[in-house]
Amino acid sequence: MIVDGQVQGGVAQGIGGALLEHLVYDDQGTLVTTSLMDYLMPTSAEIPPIHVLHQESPSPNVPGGFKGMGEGGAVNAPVAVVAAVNDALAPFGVAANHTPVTPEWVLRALGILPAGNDAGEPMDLKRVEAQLK
Amino acid sequence: MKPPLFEYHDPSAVEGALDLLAQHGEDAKVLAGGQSLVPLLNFRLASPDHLIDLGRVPALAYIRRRDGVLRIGTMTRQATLEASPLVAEHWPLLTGALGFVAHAQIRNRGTVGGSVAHADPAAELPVAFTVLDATFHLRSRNGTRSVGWRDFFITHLTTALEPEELLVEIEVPPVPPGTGWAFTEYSRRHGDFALGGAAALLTIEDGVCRRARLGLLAAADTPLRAEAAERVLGGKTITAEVAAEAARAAVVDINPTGDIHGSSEYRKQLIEGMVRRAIEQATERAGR
Repeated sequence: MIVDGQVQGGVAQGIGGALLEHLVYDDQGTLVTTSLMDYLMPTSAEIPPIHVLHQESPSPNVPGGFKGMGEGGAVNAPVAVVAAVNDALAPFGVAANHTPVTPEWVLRALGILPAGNDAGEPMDLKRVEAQLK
Repeated sequence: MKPPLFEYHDPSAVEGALDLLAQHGEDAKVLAGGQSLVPLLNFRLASPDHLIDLGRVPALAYIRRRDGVLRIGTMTRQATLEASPLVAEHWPLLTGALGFVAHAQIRNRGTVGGSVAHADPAAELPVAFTVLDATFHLRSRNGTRSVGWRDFFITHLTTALEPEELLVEIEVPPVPPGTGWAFTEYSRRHGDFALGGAAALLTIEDGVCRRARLGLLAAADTPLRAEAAERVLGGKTITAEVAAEAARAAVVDINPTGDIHGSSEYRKQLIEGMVRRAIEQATERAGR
């Protein structure tokens, strides 16, 4: 149960990092997200139910076969979320290469709002493909 | 942080509160539920010398309906209004709007009058009362006066309340039969301040919109009525095209304040979508 909770907490952190959490600095280098009203950490309302499945592979190198865990959720969740956003954006030929991915960023990437200079540039998938060839 | 030093007063009757306001008005703040004022004090954005707590003035907490008119005492808790069957039956827009007010714990303490007097343009209740054509009743030792929504909200966090005046009651006229309501808003997280939103009250007879009331959240320095958009809807059968046209009209003249949570142009786009959705929801509810 402790392991389940740690994984779930990690996933929650990962989703927060993918969609919400952002340290914003102004032109003078002053942090402007100085409270939890401005630095958006996810709450339980933002996190979907998480089902944890375990694949166990005991370590041969230590007594009891123990291994570290808990960071997996935080590492993989942002990748999964941004990959899902990029899958949805693929028909429009753009993709995100940064976090957090915000609704406003998506509107700019789609050209519904003019391009902004504050968040990550959307990747042009055609150019990426050409570079890969 | 801890709040700056202040002198605390807890009158037990309206008269006592009015005496204190007459004495300290300019240097005093009225404490209702404290859900906005106390954070402002703790961040030291406000530093009044006197705090006049209305928490022990039971006479200011009531919800009454007489001759079809709703009267809400200023110290009525938001949660109490939200749970009122009377309000849900006759003014469901208020019940719906309250669901968006922060979190349940905050609504347990936060008051109806406190939200109105605080006059944050991103707050739900001021917009709902604007759409409901509410009148605000103010009292001071010099007497009483009534101010309509149009004259009450002056700018960001500023109302027509004079330093020695107290908001005592909010009066809401009846909503005509055949009226559908909707309240929409969007925030990045549940319970956060709205980045944009809309309230709609549409009276529809024989498929035609006879009366339209539309309000915008976080669109200007006050709660805003979208009267140009109301005129677009008046006398028309509301289709998806009409709703979209009205939503465009609602935002054409607004210039919302942008910040790190959303630029002005993003908020404008968002509010347009919220208005369109509110019109569609209200139309559907009116038809039931």
